[in-house]
Amino acid sequence: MFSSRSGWLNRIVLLIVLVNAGIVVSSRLGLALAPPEAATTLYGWALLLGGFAIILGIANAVRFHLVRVQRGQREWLLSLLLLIVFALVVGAGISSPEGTTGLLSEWVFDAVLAPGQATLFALTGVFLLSAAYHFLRIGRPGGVWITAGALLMLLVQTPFLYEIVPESLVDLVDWLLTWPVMAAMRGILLGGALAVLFISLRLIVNNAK
Amino acid sequence: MATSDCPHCGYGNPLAAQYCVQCGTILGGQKPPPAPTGESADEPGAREGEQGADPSQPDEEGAEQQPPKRSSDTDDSRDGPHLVAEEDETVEDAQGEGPSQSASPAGPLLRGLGGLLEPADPLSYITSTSGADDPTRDRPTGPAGELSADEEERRHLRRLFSEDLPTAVGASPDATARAAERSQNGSGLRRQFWLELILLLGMAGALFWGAQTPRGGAGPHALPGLEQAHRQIDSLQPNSLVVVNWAYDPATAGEMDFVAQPLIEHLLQRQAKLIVFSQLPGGPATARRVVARAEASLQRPSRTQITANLVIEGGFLPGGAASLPLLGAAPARALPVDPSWVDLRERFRIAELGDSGPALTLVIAARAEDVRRWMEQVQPLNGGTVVAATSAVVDPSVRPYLHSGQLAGLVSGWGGGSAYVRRLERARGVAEQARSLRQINGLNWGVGILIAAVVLGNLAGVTERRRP
Amino acid sequence: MSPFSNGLPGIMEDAGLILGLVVSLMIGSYIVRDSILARLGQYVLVGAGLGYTAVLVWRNVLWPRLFAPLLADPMSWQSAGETGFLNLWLPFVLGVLMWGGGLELLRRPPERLGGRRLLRLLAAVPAAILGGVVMGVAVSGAVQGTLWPQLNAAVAAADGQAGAGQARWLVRFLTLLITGGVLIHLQFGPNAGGSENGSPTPGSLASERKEAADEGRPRLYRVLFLTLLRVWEGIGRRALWLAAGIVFARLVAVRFALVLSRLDYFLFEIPRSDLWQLIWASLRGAGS
Repeated sequence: MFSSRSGWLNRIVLLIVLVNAGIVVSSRLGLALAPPEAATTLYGWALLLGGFAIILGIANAVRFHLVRVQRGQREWLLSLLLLIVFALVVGAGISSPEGTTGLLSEWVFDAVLAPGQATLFALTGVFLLSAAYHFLRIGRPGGVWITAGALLMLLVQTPFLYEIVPESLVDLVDWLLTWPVMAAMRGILLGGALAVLFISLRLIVNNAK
Repeated sequence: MATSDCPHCGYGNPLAAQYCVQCGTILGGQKPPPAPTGESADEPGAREGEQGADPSQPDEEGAEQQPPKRSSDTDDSRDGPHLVAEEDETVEDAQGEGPSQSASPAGPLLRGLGGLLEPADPLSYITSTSGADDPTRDRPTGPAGELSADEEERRHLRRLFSEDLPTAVGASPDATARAAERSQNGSGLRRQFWLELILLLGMAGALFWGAQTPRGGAGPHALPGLEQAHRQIDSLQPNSLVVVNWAYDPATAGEMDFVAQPLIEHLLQRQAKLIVFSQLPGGPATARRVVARAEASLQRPSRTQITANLVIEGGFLPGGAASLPLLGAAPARALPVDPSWVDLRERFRIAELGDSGPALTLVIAARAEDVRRWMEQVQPLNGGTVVAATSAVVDPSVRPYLHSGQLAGLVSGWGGGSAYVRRLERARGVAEQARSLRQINGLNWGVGILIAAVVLGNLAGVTERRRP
Repeated sequence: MSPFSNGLPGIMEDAGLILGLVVSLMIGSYIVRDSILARLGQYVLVGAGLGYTAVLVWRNVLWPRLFAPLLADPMSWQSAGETGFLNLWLPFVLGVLMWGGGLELLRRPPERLGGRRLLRLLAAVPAAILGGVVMGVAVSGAVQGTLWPQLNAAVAAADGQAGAGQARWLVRFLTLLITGGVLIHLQFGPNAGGSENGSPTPGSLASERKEAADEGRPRLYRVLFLTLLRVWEGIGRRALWLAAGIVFARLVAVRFALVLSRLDYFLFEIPRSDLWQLIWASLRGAGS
């Protein structure tokens, strides 16, 4: 996370990280090492710093495209268009006292953002078919189990298939979902939670070294 | 610019790249060969000074040991590829690393249980709905080219759940062109254009003729959890405070609107007081639209009246998981502060949240991550009752929370939303019925084509194996 | 177009409809190939998204929560005691440091000591605070919200959801078996019993078994234990595969719903709009 070459600076940064993490953990686990308000204050800071970070990220992206336009790099015209659209949308939002609930911003949302984002993600549905064609094969590792699970679920969740499959099969899928699959997912959740613990520990120990 | 081929997909990446631009495989930041001795005697020292004075600039070693930041953790994750330093400078900096910074693969810090670090976030490994090519899944354990069966299996699963999303603008100027070449050459996901065309035509035809098809049967199957969700909302007293975490935006609205609207309608029917907030930039605007449609379907007098009386806009809450506990610890601080939105009475209502907590929390999420965050960051603090309305793919991942009693109800996917609508005591409009019929017909055709594609794929596999 | 932009002149509504259609078609053209049209659509979308987010963050977060209160009462750090200082001034300073240091980090590193170097150093402070809070909430949340309740639920008696005809203890045992198997799989991987090329991965069960064999003593209990673990891991792995299949089917439902929604937009929503009806009527009039 931080440079390992400047010891004192690394230690200060690590100390800040640990103190903040310690305040939060002690507050959450009721260890009373720090007043509960301290953690609440930190959450409030995180909220505001999150806002600052987003603006910084946007500034970075704008700068990236500005440089591209300045240097006439590949697709600089598209970058210029991006910057123009960005400026127009910001202008529309700032000029209205209501901000993003103003008429112009709502118009931008309806005219560009909603249809654009929806279409971009709908593309993945089409590509899914090619993925299924290539990778949902019985001969692959675990292919029988994966294909069986997929077909069983499709039988139950697809309207025309659901109408023709026997009730016992529907009950079987519900049972699978409620018990074995839930148990497997619980294992994944537990593994993920343990991983979070160990990653945190690893970051701390690595930086301390 | 010197490149090195990815051991997974063969894509030519810059030498300093930590991850493959095309498939996300961890490359481990292969360094250029060390500079000849004496090339610059004072270079390492000078660079050391620079690095030392730059604590927040991740160095190579740190970057390798640290898991890559997941897109789901950023508020503007979809713009992630833009939030990079200028490409030329990055490469120059990385190539300028001295010999003293030779790459050392990060070994496991902890033996034994430390192995659990390997699948850093297995949840997204299985259920990621966006950006499924998470590089953490492909942590190579051996030299390039010697892929173990473990790697094979992981790659297989990852491919199964990933699609060739369009390369984000600005991420890599020539990545898409190269990816297209690879696809044509057989590397990466080979798209079957004829199958995709059949799917699109089939679905379009089904939509055209779907509205005329009489629908029979009992409708879509509702998975366990819906009954409990309905019961929880139905038992709400008028004016109960309900916090709604709106965790989807227009990208997934095509599915999620079907799930969210019936629940919002039900809450409005029960005259619950909704406090709606979102951690996604597109969330508040999406919520406004769905609430307006729900209000229209309930035929209430006007949108403004319902917004003033029953819905409080909590707006946008940045900060991700770090700021979320504020809703449990001090909701009045987390929720709206702009006086132009909220009148004085509503402010008092929000302040009540801090004392008694909400009567119910509804998490409407397109990703399992958002439900998990709520269960981890807010629910332990306020102990409130939580109902989740999720995308279909999220259902299996959050079911353990339903089983453990942390979730009081679960409605998922278009099927769950449709089953929920049937429980609401209201007449459905002609347009709504027609759309529902079209959806059913389109889904039927789509799944039929998918099953045919899977059968064909397996036959093709058998043929390929028999071929010498 | 939604009722939220109804106050604009009619021409804007029509323009919005056309713009939405054009952007959708451009982005959708990626299905055929990654053309200049598809990229144009993406750039417009990203530009609008960045602008919208910037306005949202400023108008919804930074201005009302921080800058407006500070401007309204700049001396709040004195008058309101610690509250104004802790909740307004400190985050303001940290945010400014983050902006300054972050923008500085985007430039080439300075060659001499000076203000720029100091800015880079100070930028680490807000990053460290944010990192510390993220680490704290991640760890405590994982323990409180997932680890402890899920472990409890895994061990606790199964409730009545198993169905009347099923032996409860059997279901409970199965659940525990699968959860444990998945954890073993996540720990040791599928090569727990032995790898294909004969060289077991260090730390795996296979390497443990090899070590036991190398020692030359008949450690039957150890081999039995490792075999048991291998079988257990196999059960967990198969449950994971089954779960993966089910998740895939659910993913199909999601993605197809998104495709259908877009097709519905092109085939039904657009043709029903007033503008489209007008164009269609004029075309038919010209044709007849």
